[in-house]
Amino acid sequence: MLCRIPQEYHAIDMHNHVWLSGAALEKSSGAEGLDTAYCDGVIANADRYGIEKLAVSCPITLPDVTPEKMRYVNDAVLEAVRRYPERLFGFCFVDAAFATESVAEIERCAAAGMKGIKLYHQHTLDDEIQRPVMECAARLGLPVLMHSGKVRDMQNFQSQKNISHAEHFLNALEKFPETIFIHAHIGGGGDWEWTLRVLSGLRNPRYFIDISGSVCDAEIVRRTIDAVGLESVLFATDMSFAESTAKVLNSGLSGTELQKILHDNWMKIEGMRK
Amino acid sequence: MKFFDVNVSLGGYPFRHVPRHSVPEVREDLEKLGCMGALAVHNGALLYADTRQANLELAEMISGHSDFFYGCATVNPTWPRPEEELDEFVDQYDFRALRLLPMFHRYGIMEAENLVRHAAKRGIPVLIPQEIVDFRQQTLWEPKEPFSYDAMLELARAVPEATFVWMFGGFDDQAPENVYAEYDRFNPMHHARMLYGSNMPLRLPGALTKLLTDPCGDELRKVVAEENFRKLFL
Repeated sequence: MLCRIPQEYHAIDMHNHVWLSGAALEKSSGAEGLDTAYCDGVIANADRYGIEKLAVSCPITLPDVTPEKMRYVNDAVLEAVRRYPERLFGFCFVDAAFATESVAEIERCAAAGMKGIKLYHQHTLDDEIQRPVMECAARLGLPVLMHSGKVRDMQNFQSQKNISHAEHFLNALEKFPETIFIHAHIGGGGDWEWTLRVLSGLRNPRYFIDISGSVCDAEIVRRTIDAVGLESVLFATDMSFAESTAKVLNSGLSGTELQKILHDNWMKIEGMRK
Repeated sequence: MKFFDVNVSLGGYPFRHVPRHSVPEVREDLEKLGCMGALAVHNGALLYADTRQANLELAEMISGHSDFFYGCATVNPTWPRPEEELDEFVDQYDFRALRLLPMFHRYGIMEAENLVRHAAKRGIPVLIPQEIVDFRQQTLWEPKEPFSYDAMLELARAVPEATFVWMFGGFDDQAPENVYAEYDRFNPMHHARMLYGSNMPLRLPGALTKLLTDPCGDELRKVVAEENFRKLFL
């Protein structure tokens, strides 16, 4: 059984995280925000599972986002990338409720080398409030990675009322026709079969979906490929290193399929940058 | 690495298409990974009111594979004479474990106390799953929330002579010595009381990837992969 991705694929995990240490977010200031031990652990796990590079973000998962906090978490991401410049690249977290500040923050992070935008469940992807962020993303050629899932259980629904699901992605593809979208974690715990039914037959060069998450149900990767096409599927772990590695290595994928999912499809997104 | 698997589900799963779920296919897939044997439950037992019928089906399914599959009886303690049902499958079909499904069969876990005491007398470990699939993707017919870890602990403390295996849930320092846990999606701890389980064919073997790369060391890896299974079921 393969439990480590062969080096020849140059695997890229395009959805992972670094976090702040302790109560750093409450302070929202100072340079000590990054949890360096956790960050080192991310690299140790990447080494263990054969992952060459990782996209990391530090989203604020609580409702009380402020522009200061946005900058603070993104500074932590920049610090992580400085710590491991050959291994990590950043995604910038913003909350579109702060339109002007979010656009400025995206521009600041892009200038510092970040390669994407990470959104959480503060607003659905197709909400009109997202327009400034989406237009900025399109202008800079940065993909938008959106936390998502078709939530079935009441506890998660109550805590994530604005979580985006597949229909929001279809709406957003029409509403923001220049923006590149990455649908986060098909294995993140939502109803993946419903998601794939909604997306079935979608072939859009601006749409991508990642396979991350702790759910490693039989067929989840193969059916994702069948639904949206091989060109749209990206490898990622979202911290579930073992499960995501197992998923991609134990789904009967050909070498060509592995190459695209583990590396080439992300490079295609990078190639779209203006 | 050779291993035993404490969590294999046979038969079609009522809530989702599952590929390669026939007994020969499941065995073939497990053996390819290095599996030497597995404890098997029957998915039909989730929904049958009369669990005995599901256990009979399971006995029939694995009858030609007694060198590999070990049966686990799912018994509803609120049905008549549950102890007799367990005895029947232990004595006549060589089943090695008892599974309780309070969230599917809708009873309070302490209603199983007498049955569990009986299982303990017979040396039969008791499996209690937190959930069968991730509850976040539940269908209308699946339980609305995972089974409570604390409730499982209450029963384990009430019947200290019984051995429990907490499935698909992970555990912590609160767990008494008679509780083992399936080595699965949560961060492993107390390896000395963990057993590897895959929940194949419902899931891909993510936990095996984790176990193979676990920095716990080869000695503990062997405990999780093999020795605890031998101790409890063989």
